[in-house]
Amino acid sequence: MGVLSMNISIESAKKELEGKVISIPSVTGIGIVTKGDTSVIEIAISDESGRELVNEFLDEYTYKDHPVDIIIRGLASPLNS
Amino acid sequence: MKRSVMSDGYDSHGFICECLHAPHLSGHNFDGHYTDAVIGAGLIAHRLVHVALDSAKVQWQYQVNALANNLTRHFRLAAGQLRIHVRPLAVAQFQLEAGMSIGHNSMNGYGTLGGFLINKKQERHFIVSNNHVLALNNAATIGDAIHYGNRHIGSLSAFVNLDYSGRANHLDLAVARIDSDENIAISGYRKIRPARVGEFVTKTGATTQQTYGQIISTDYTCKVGYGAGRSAVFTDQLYIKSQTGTNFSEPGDSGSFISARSDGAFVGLLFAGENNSSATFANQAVPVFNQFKKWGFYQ
Repeated sequence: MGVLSMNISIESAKKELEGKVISIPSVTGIGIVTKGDTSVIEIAISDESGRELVNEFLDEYTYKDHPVDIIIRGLASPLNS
Repeated sequence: MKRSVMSDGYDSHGFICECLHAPHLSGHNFDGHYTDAVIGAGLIAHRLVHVALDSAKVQWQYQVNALANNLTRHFRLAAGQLRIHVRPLAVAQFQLEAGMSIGHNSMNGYGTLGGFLINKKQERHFIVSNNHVLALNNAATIGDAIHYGNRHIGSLSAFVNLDYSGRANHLDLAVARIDSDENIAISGYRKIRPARVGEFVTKTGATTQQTYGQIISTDYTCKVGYGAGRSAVFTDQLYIKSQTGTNFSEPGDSGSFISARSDGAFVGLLFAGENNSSATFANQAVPVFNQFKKWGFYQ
């Protein structure tokens, strides 16, 4: 358990979250995406089973100025036919 | 004056059709002579009728002479107005170009020929695509054959190993040396630069051809499934969404070069996506370029 540092950039926040959530099997991606004029930390999960675990990590995320979206998107595949 | 050049197949240009309304020469039965040997016919300067015969089907001079006599008589040609020569059947000019479907000889399916890498020092040309297209997800051997359909076009030269341990990958990249006698279509040299979030891009892939998208992220971390229960984590990847109602990419587009629409710069190497969605992932171009340098392509 730990608390993310205050006053960090969205890039740093994403890196800290990434280190925690990427090991969750149902997490398929994390990145900073633009939604309109806002930069959002997007966490992609393959199905609802990962949402609770991701939320546990997000509960530790104290720097509330950085929005986080959890979306459902499957595991990426290499695009050979 | 009409001009014509020799062409294979049915060239009924000019003199033959105009004056005599004759059917195509090829396949026409001139008293049983070897007319199926005709592989080209046309009119050249000064209304000279030129007929080409397939050297694989013509063995004797008397056959050529007999055909000449019959053609002259049948089409009422003036003396000296007919020329017959014998040569091999022409073959279509094949050339490699970006966007073609290629793959390792043993791969079921295909990926995309993204672009070419030219080693000026060695005067050799290389194809650029993904490891999973040219190197069978690390399972291939250097020197393995690379194909376009059934045509052998080159051999695997180098690839970046995919790491399935959970450590970060940055590249799904491989290059293959092109056979020395292949023709390649190079439209120009591109500059290489980092992609910018929000910029509009395009690609030409073997499945969806040219599509248009927008860079949503330049530091995306994604897990990619490589079959047999294996997955690899990629960091600092481009995440691209389609600008249109269709997906930016589909299976078979792996290896496509992603270019910025503003200046044509090479900004990414397409390698993965989520099926049935518009999410496409690509390696950043600058790490691709740096890998080329590590392999010695710019010494």
